[in-house]
Amino acid sequence: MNAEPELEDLSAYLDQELTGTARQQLEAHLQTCETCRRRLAALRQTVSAVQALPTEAPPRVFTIPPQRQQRTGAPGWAWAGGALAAACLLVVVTTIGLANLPHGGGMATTNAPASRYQGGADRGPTMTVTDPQDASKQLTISSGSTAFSADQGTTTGSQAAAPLAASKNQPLQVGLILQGVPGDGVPANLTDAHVRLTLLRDGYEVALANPDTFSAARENGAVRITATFRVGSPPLPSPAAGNYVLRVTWQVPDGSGVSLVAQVPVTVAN
Amino acid sequence: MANSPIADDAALVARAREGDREAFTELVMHYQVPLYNMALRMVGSRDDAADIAQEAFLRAWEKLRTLKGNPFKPWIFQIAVNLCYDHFRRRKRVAAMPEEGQEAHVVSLGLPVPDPAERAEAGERARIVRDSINGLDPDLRTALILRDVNGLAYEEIAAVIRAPLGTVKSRIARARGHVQERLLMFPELFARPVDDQEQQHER
Repeated sequence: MNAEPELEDLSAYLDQELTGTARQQLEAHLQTCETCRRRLAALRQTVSAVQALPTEAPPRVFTIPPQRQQRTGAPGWAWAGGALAAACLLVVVTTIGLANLPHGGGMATTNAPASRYQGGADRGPTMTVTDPQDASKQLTISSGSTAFSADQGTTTGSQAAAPLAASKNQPLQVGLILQGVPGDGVPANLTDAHVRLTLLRDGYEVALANPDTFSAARENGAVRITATFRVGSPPLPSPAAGNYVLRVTWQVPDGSGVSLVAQVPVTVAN
Repeated sequence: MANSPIADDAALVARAREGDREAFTELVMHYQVPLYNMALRMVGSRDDAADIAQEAFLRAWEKLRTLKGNPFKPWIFQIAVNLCYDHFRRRKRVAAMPEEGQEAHVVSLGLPVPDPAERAEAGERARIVRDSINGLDPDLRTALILRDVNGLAYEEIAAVIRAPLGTVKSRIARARGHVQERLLMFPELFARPVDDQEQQHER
């Protein structure tokens, strides 16, 4: 290739979308032309800058309401919501996406998809986020767990196989792991831990500020927090039943001003 | 993430077309992050991007039977891209809204850069890159985002925007050219690289 390669060819070359003779000619030209090597390097740097934009987690859960049916006569799909109209206020951890409420006398379990966030099929939904600029800082939230298993790092809630449900007597349980907190102190409450918990639905946000129970411990360089909330106590929008997002915001205590946000889906039924 | 084997998608689509919502949920879970991030970089607002992703999944669910044997991935991206264009038309302007606040909801990625000063600089670089993308014509922006944000292959992009490969190639290159011009206005943040060959040798 004697002529200067077009920008198009350099760009496609970077993407390995230039093949055959065109590729060979371009490579031969690059061997002898410093200008084009610089052009290619500049283009590569531009691509890297775009690729370096952080990937963000969606701010809410995407759902298909049960009344939305497939066109052209999809098989009927009975939502089990009615079965849950029983008894007292119930918090059910559902799958991300479609409400996937099974049956069974007001108790509810979750199926595997939710735990795709992290962990296995026998665990509640869990999400871990890592500070993109400091991988030692990591935040994990899980719902429906009473204890954390002992494994390190991205450990998730570990209430294996038990129904991920809560009632007035069995409130919403939140597990947090704050990885990379300096020092060896243990926070006395959520504020002390630089943590904010909220329930969100349709732009309505309720702070979960005063847990019924709060416990924190240090383990393997992480602060582990378990908190429980009576879902009747925060002023949920009326009607209270519905799909929520349980969100945690952690202001990383290193002076960087960075906050990590993680969230899991929660359904309140009554 | 978005690179699932097509066979997996096809099996899930087949189940979902029979009304299996759980199978569709798996597709949602698989594509929600790439689709949301595509929309975010297209329209610039987290709320609008989430609305677009939500609507794309709803439409996909409702129209799943029209997909026939075609691959799900370019189809769902095509629905979302069309919704982004609808959004632009509604706004009666092309420029994306400035993104609010700092990068908040960040999925695990990236390398450790512990120094706060470097973090601030990285934030500034990201802001300039976003502005550069927002300044692009929507067709160029779409091509660039599908390639460099979502990592789609040229053929997949061609299927999404329903254009020949040559058009894809040309749009990606022109978009990168425009972004590059803009970045070079900030030499303190985007230093001119050394010779590509020298760079390769250094590695």
